[in-house]
Amino acid sequence: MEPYKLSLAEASHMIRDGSLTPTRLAGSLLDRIDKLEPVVEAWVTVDREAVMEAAEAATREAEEGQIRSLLHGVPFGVKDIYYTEGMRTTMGSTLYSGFVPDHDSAVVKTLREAGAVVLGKTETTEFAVHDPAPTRNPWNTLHTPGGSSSGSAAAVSCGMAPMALGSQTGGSVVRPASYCGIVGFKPTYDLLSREGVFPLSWSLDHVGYMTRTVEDAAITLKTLKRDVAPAEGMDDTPKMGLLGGYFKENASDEVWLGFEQAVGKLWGEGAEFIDVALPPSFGMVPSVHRVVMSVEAAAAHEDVFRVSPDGYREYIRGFISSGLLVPATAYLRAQRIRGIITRDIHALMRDYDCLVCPSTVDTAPRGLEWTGSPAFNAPWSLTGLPSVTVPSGVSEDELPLGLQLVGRPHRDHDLLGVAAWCEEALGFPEGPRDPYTP
Amino acid sequence: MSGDGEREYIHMVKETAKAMWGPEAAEKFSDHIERTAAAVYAVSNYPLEPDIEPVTRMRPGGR
Repeated sequence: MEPYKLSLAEASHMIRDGSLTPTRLAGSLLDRIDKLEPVVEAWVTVDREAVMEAAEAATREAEEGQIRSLLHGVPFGVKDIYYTEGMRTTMGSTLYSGFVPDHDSAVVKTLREAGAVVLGKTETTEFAVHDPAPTRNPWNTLHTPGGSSSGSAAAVSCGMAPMALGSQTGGSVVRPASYCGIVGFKPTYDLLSREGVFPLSWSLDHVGYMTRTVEDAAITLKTLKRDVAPAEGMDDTPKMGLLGGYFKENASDEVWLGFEQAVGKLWGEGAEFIDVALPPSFGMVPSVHRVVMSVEAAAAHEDVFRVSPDGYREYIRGFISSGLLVPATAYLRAQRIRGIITRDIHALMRDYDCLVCPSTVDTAPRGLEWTGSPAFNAPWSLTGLPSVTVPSGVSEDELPLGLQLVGRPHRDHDLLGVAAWCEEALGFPEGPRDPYTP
Repeated sequence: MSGDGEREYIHMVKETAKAMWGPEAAEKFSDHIERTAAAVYAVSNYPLEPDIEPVTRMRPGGR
């Protein structure tokens, strides 16, 4: 089998038992990138020489019996808002097109120290908001891969990387992962360091990542954060709180139908579902999220924006402009309401292993101009709860559908345990996708 | 703010935007300005919980 087809877990196992070298794995992934990049456009920067140098160093260490971690010798993609020492970091903006950081972001540093290999920088929407990247969805290249972590999702989906870092402020990990038929994991707020990640909205920004399997997501978490509470283990089958209401009202017909079919399948395998009524405060999620995000984005960009407003593309320019008009008291009130929402959701979760809803409002929209709605993901960015999308099926148009699971705060491995159970029960094929153009 | 307050508030914010950036830019970004202003209005009119909210608890006359 060509090494690019391996999951992260498989590659890790083979590197440790000596049947695969990091050099061969990196070479296979670079060849895959060379072959597909003209169509998919997932990467801003790939430094082939630097990749092979790092892979060869990892190979030498492995041959000497020095395996640093489960990610030793495993290449990964990095969203282009993460600082990478000596490698251009553009934030998807012309304003930073020549910016080369002199240090790594904290998670990139941790991964390098664990022996993982930086493959390159993946495309992002401008400053991780909505102005789109050029990236195309491997499932249908006429459709968006979603955003803002557009390149990371597409790269993992089509086998250019077994794992790639993303970030989520609204729905920027879970949504593109779902649109591209892969696993996207957003851990509990602040679990993974945001140091060296260009801020959009500091109280909403989450470090997250994409993989093709839940097992790969769990291995990555163990490597990034060694002191996360281990999975306590559920009963034989999970007990899940089923979210209707807001989610049913806003989902497209095909998304809701696919969700019901996935739930039916899981129920047939023994999962227990209990209908959960959302608290009244949940209705404030969209307004509170918008006030907090627009103000914090305006604050993060204020100095540059005042000097170079024309350096910003249209969507983010309007968004920042609107945030500059919000009274301070409204921002503070939004944060206070956020506390009420978070308390109410936490109370809701006590009796379940997780909450479950569709990952997205719709399937990946046609065209590259609009990266889709974060409406089903923003509640969990706002409340800081861990969430993960697991591929659950395809629509009539052969576009992926996802099941979103939401866990208790700081019980990230418990959530991934339930996600692994769902993944196995749903039986969605996990191999890399060859890009399809109708 | 009450009654037709949301519409009035959004109008006020749009006028402020015109004064800050000029009519052309305010018009160009009117969708963002309206959506954020509507969110601010909703937030400003959502009742807090005096029993548990530290700032309102300190308000004279509050419990």
